[in-house]
Amino acid sequence: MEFEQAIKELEEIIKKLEDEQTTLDQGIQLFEKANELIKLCEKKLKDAKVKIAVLKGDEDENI
Amino acid sequence: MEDNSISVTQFCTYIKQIFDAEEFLHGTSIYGEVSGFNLIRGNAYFTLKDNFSALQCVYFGYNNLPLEDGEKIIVVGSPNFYAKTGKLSFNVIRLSLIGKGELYFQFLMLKSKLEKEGLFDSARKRNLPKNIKKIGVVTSKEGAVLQDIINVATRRNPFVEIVVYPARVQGKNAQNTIIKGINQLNKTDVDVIIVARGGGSAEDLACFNDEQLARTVFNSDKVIVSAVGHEVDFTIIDFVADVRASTPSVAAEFVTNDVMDYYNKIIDKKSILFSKISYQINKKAFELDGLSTQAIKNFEQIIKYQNFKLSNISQTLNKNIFQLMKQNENKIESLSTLVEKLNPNAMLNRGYAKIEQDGVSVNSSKKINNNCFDIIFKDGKIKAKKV
Repeated sequence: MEFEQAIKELEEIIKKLEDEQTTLDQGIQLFEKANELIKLCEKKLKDAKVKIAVLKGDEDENI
Repeated sequence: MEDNSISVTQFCTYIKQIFDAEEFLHGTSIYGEVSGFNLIRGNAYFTLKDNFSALQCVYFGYNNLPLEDGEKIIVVGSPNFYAKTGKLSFNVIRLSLIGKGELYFQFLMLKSKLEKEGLFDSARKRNLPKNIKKIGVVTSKEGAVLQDIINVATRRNPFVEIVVYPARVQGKNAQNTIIKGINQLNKTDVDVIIVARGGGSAEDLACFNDEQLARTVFNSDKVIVSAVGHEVDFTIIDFVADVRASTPSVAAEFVTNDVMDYYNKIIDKKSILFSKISYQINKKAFELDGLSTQAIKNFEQIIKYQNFKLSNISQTLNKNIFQLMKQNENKIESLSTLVEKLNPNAMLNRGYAKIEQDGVSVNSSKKINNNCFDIIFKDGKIKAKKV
């Protein structure tokens, strides 16, 4: 799952948790899912590296 | 008529000859403000003036944008006296705006031309793609611009990829390297292309006012974001690009979703998550507690009731037993009375006597088989003999 997708799901979970219709059992399940997502996000952030590719330009060439 | 008088034509021709002969007046450079600019059939007519004087000017074959009143310009040309009308006019052969110069004129001219062609139409401008993952950047690899873009973009979205085409962004033919960069990045899988340069003089930014560059941007398959110079600087590429950013950093902001900001907000909400859950748990626990209290209460009542019931039962039982016992007692008593009554010895008290022979009661005279038997009284016995 991608980072942004994980955050979106987290947001959904929070919405559900804020919903008073959510039962305790559902809440606990959602909460566990949220913790998994947070762990996933933290791992992804930890592993993130700046990815920069430099093409062969002609900045230095005589034109 | 005076003998030395001359005709109007003679006079005017003389004046004209004087003006034409005066070398100082030819190729003169004059500065002033424009007033009443009028463009008729390719010729420009206007007045050049300052606070105290005014000069009628004409520019034959003017091919630039109309000038507005109050614009400060420098004109180069020669005075021309029209004998026919007796009026002096300054024939302009060159014109430039004070402080902006020729480059600005070229810029305005190109802008007007491309605008007419529809290159700047807002209807054809595309929105930035959603979820940009790869950003193409055409700029110099020297200087702060590229670093700013990388910093801003990766700070906002650490997962974004950046593909850089190092291009020359000022000087002669710089536009050609920028054009190459745009074309090259169009062949890659970048989602968007930023064409960027830091601030600079009008001359420095001139390469972004190039017609071919404008057409390359216009024809680009990928969405183009221009970020040239500072906020106040506008170049042709800014008008053609799909999106204009006031600075390179702003361009980097435009093309990246601030996922870190989003993430941090969500993580902040994590505490709400915790409190929410613990609240629910507490609430349930409270409810459970309430239930258990109730259950205990109920249980107590049950016990109480049971005890009560038991005690009733036991009381009843006791009572019953007592009654039973009482009854039995009564029964026993009456039985014992009866037994007492039936006690043969009791008969002796009432004056009866009992006959026994050899220790056994005898209830018939015929059963006395020998002569001796015992007569038993209540207080003793006597021996008797059958006669």
